[in-house]
Amino acid sequence: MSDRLTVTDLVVEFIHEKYAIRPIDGLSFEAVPGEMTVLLGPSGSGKTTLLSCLGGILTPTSGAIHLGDLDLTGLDAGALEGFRREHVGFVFQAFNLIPSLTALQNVAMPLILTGSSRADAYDRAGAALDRVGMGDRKTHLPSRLSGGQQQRVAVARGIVHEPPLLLADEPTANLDHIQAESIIALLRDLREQGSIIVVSTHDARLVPVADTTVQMAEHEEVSESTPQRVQYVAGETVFGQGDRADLVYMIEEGNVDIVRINADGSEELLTSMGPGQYFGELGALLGYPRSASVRATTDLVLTAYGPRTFRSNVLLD
Amino acid sequence: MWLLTALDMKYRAIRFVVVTIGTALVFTLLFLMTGLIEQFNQEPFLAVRQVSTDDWAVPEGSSGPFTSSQVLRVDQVGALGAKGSVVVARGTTVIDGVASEGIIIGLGDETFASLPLDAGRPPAGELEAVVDETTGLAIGDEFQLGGSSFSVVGLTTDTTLLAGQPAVFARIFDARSVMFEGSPVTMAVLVEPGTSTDVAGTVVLTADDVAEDLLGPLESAVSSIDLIRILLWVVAAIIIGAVVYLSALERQRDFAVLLAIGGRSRQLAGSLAIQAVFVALLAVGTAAALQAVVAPVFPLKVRVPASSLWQLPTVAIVVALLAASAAMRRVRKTDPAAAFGGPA
Repeated sequence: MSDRLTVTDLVVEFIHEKYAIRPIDGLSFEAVPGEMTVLLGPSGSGKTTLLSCLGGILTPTSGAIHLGDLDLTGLDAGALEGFRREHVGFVFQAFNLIPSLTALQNVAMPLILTGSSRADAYDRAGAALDRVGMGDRKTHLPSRLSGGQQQRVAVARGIVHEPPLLLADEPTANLDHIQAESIIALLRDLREQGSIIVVSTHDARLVPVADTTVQMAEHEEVSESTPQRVQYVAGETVFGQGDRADLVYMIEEGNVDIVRINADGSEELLTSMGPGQYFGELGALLGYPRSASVRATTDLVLTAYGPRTFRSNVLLD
Repeated sequence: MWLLTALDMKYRAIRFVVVTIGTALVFTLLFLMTGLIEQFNQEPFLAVRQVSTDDWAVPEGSSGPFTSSQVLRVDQVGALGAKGSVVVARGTTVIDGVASEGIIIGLGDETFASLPLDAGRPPAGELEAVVDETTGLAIGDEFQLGGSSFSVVGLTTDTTLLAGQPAVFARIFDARSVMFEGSPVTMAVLVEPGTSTDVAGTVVLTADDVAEDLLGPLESAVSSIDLIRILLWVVAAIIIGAVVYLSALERQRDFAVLLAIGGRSRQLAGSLAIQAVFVALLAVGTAAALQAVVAPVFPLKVRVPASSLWQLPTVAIVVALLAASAAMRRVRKTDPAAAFGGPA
């Protein structure tokens, strides 16, 4: 129970259609037993991907995950299955209780699946339900429980086998604020058992209750300096796919090609632009990484705007 | 896993009951079709062996006494030293004003002596007949045949031919008189088994050859029923496969969760297989009971072979597993990561 979770230079890359995306790119952090770590970030920032990696469901592209001395990235599929059974408890956003099973049977299921006798599984499941305050709902089907009650049962299912690592994916996302508060309080209380509790959320209100917070999408202030004229020679790259998006460009002179770099390194021409046209506005406005590369096909003169300046000076003008 | 399987079936009980009933109806039809084919296959052997287990001498070129209109010449009949002559004709019997097809078989008295009767006695006088019990006639009833009125003096069972046409046994004189206007025609002559004929223009068939020949006209009917049986198996497979696949689709998230919390994909696929086999066996059991109720009121005699009571469940298990294989494949490919995310 005293093993810490160490994530080092973690990279997860998916091939989507033909191009590669990296929801996690070089992430490192540590989580300590008896503490709650919150993974904070918007949708698409890789929180669930990271939980999948931590839970032994997904193998990262590179980097390392250690739980104590155990290196997850070195385990094969069968060993990962065993790792999940013994070391990880899951709490899901949508509760994900099996509708045909009572609260007690749902909580007992991880134990039954791993070969415990039914009597022992039910004893331990009953104790787990008592612990989360659901001891009086043991025989209820999920359909007869409120969202908050279902999530409590799901938490009991996550801790019934006393795993050293409890992963909770947006555990309050489908709950009203009263139920959400009780679940957060429950997760905080569970720290006492010495587990590492990792909670993913997009809700920054959870940050104050976290012992550690991992920002999944670094939010950097985009400079809003006055528009600047910039020049490129033919063949030069204005920005590359995956780069941080901070500026919007208006073409004053010359032409550019906008190309997508595929996973195999090949390039796909998306469009060509000339004077009077602009590019790079959505990434800069939304804070997403650049989704394509832009290359000057002739000598080029651009005006670079900060996204808010561009919006007020150009789009709304 | 048994717990999960049983509780899921309980949870989706209405669906499983409906599917079991639907599959049971299909299996009932399969039992009946199997029973029909069995009856078609056994019917001529039972009937012919009751008439006589002797060999049958017939005109050369005749396919058999019941399917050919060829007759023996008088001199051939004499030369064969026959144990008894047989006259066969298809005729229309009129019973209480209702006409129906029957097979008229004229026999000599010595042959009648060995004909097993269910009730009554062999014909002793003019225009007396022994009839198959499927005619619905009773001893003492009268019926019309070829313009003459016959009275029933005896009853037989299992003496239908050509898919349920009842045999009407009359003395050979009456049969010739009514069906052939008194001409001394003879379709076959019964001879000692193993006799080889040296009478020109005749051949000897065993009783089984004669029965076998009667299967010929039913060949296309049997093939059609066989085809229907195959289609019924396909329908049963589709019903079972569809419900199990639907169940797998609905439980995709459940399976992902179970995999994430330590379940093994083969355990979950096994759970689906158990459901499919359970539905199939329950349906077979229900069908076995249903066919026992339906068979007696079926228009044609249905003879469900005892072997089908174990063959059908065995095939049903195989079909159920095949039908569930797509669902099992789907489960085996389930990604536990699918447990993450918002409501499904």
